[in-house]
Amino acid sequence: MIKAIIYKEWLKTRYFVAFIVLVGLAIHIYSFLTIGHSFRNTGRAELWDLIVNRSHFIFPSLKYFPLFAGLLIGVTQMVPEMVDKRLKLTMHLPVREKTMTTYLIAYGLILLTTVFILFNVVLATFLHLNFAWEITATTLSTTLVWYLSGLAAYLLSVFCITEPTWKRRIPNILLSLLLLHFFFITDYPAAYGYFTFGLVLLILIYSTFIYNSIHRFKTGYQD
Amino acid sequence: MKIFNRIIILIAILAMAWGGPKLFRLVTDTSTRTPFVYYSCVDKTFCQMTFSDSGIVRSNKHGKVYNESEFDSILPMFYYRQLLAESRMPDTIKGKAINMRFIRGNSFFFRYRPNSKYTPSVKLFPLFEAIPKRLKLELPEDVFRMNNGIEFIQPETNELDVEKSKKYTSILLKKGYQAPARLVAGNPSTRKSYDNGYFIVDKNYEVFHLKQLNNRPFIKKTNIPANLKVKHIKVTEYASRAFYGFLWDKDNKMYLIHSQDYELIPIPTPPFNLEQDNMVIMANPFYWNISVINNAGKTCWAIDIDKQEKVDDITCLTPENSKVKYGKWIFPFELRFLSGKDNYVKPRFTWNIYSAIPFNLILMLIFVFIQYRRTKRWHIEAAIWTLFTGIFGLIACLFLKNKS
Repeated sequence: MIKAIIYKEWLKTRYFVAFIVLVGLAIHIYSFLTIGHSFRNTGRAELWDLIVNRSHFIFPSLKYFPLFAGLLIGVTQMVPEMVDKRLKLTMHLPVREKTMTTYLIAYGLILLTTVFILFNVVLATFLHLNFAWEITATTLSTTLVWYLSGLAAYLLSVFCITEPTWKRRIPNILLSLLLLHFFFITDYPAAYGYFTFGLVLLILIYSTFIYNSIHRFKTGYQD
Repeated sequence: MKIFNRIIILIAILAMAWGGPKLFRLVTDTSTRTPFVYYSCVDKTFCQMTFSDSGIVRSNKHGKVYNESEFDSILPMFYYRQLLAESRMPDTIKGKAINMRFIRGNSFFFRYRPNSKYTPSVKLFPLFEAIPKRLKLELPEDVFRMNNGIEFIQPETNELDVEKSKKYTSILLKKGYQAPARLVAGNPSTRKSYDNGYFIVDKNYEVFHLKQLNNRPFIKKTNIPANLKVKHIKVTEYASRAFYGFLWDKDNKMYLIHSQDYELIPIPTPPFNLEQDNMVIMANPFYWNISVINNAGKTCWAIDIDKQEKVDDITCLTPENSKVKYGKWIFPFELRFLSGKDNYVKPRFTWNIYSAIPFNLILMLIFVFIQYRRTKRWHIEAAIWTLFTGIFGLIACLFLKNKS
């Protein structure tokens, strides 16, 4: 049954996953070309100097990509379930409510993590070839926070979509916006160094929110 | 499922503890300008310029008020360009002949902010040629990192310059360097007239001076005592070339590193904490105005350079913004992620539990009343929760609590 559920989720999201991969590749290629342009016109030493001594960040265009990727997967996975309350069918399968919810969240999280790891490998390879490991580490620790924001966006979008009533969905959306902002407090490179583990912990906490929404959905809360 | 609902409420309270006070400050905050203070070598007392809605007031520490022109003339070391332009500059001060070159050559402005030290940084450093062929300093073609020795990396190829690294490392090790480096202090900018290189503090708190002279390494173990346990060094490149920079020891005591054999000269400063306080030094040929600025206000000492001692001091307290302080009564606690003291994101709580209790009590009664009218039941647990978490708890419970 798990295989069937995963296949169902895959059918809903596959075109959008392909879209995310294509957009992600386009953004990465554009960033690499921009840096190559700076290498040729400004000089490598000057660009290194900007990064090292002026705290310049060379991949600003990556900032909101993971966030939109997370939102897109959340929406495409859950909106079809909420149309005509189809999620009720899934929840009436002979699997515990919590277990089914876990499968649904795990699908999205694993999918997004796989895509994000792929992009991080591409990014790390480019950085490794062109920059010292100190610059690579600083850049990856900055982009890691943005990729974590993608996972948070996925979880919070599912939390809001699966909520059965608009009366509660609106506070949920406002709360989610505040919680997502935790990942974009500053643009200073590697500023989240001490708090990355805290962000991972927050993502784990956000994942528990969905159990509440789905429970409310299954129980038929009207408030 | 109750537990998941409680987690949502808890996280919502944290989110509101961050967003609520931030929004409140955005609406109520106004800037408070601390007065400009400067020691007058003419009046032999501190003079200040205060800014208010009614305008700028120029006075000395004892309350004597000056007009703009008089103020210029009692602070000739600060307004020397204006005085020279108006031919009002005295010929001598304290028995010394005064001209623009003398003032410029012996004046400097130094600023320290905690977030310049406590900040994420890439530990790569450009080593400038300190005796450049052309007068202007040029960005070197490599950068160095400190590990067991010194490694030079060339950005063009992203590869190590093995030969240069070996040359510098062997000299550094011969001088007694013990890895890892605790601090590498320099001024990695070409916007300076000369280069003082880097000061490196090793594992044993020994301080080494590193420069590149005529393409050759200059590495010297300084006589700065290791028992000072150097906490911070700020290298400066001022026109007088009299010193290499400033040094702070483990007790936040400040010294000047004299360019004559690295002699350390203690500098009297107001109480200062490297982690918390800003420091500004406005130096002229006669006095150094050393200001320590923090949330409480600004304390400035005037130091006589010849005697190396404090001659006067002044303290200006920061007035509390009357509207902002209401926040303490409304919000029982506040969560911030940023601080002016560093560039790291981390949770920082400010607790106002006691000052917010009266407001929380009112909110609790409102909550109990609303809930009783809705459900005809007393929600004791949620009421106690509101008493401690105040407006955040009330909003979270009203909008996010599941009905049982």
